Amino acid sequence: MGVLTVERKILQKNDVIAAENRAMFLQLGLFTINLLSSPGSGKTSLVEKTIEVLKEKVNMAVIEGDVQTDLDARRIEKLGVPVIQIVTNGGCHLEANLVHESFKNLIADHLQFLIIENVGNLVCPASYDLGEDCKVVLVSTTEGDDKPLKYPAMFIKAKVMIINKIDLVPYVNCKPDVIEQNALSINPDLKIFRTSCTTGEGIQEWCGWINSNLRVR
Amino acid sequence: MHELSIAQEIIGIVDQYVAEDKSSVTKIRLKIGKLSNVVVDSLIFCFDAIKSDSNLQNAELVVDEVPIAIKCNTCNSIEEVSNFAAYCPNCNGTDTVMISGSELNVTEIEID
Ligand SMILES: Nc1nc2c(ncn2[C@@H]2O[C@H](COP(=O)(O)OP(=O)(O)O)[C@@H](O)[C@H]2O)c(=O)[nH]1
Ligand SMILES: [Mg+2]
Ligand SMILES: [Zn+2]
Repeated sequence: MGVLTVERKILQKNDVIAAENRAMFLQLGLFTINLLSSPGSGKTSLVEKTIEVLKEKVNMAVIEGDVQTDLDARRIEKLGVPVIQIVTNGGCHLEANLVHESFKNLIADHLQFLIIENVGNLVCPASYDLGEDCKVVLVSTTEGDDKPLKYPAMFIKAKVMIINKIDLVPYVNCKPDVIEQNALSINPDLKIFRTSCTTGEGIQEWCGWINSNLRVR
Repeated sequence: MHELSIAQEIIGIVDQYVAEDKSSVTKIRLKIGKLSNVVVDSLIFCFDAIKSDSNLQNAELVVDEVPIAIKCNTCNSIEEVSNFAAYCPNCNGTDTVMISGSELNVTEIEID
């Protein structure tokens, strides 16, 4: 009989494992990003482009998260970069323990850079810290310019926003300036890149930013 | 969409506080911020669907929803807003901090 005062974070278990991951990545000298967007915005395409530019100079690896299939991991494998696929079987986001377990299975020496491609979803992954250095949120010009306003939690937590499919601007009713304005109204500190994985526009700038953040060179 | 896994986490927390007879738990009180990306109705639905597996059949979730509030360091006002923005609704200043709205906590467990 009575009331127990609890005051516990519901996602504390995830936060604890995420903190362990972060400490481990730091100790390994690894720079880590958590790549987030709606399905189809171009996460895997951006990872491919990034690999093409960086793989000669940077030891990198990729963790792919999808609801089903290892299709994305196979795309990365073709480029000769170590990759692990996490299949969530319906789960709408990656959790820190999944990253922890799959990282153990990555066979890679002297890693400098790890990309975690999250499950395509602008809602749930915002709540789950994976232990990354920063969240990078991708929006493509085919999604309209209001996404930062509709999914603020994701944009509050991100350090970088990439506006992808910039090559399609002439064909869609979407203004990159408006995406930027909306995103900055949610998070004034966002670093912003505009890219096209088709023409390669903006990819060098993006990779330059990654380079400047590596811990070990 | 992740309300089922949130419901499982809640049950895991209750487990740590109530070791014996969990059927005596009547209420689990939560604090859920408007920006926490949890759909309350869906969370209650998921919890009700799985609670009896953990002997929590007599427990109900009671949710205190927390509004988004922004504190402005320029004019010192605290404003509740329905849509989050990083500027002050009072003076338009951008030196602001969100002081509530992202909560996702179990606050109390009531036992009969
Ligand atoms: N036109 C155009 N298409 C792109 C661009 N980036 C990706 N795509 C296409 O968008 C689709 C989804 O890309 P994918 O990388 O699989 O997206 P993900 O689901 O976010 O990983 C594919 O057909 C890509 O070829 C881009 O910058 N411009
Ligand atoms: Mg993908
Ligand atoms: Zn103000």
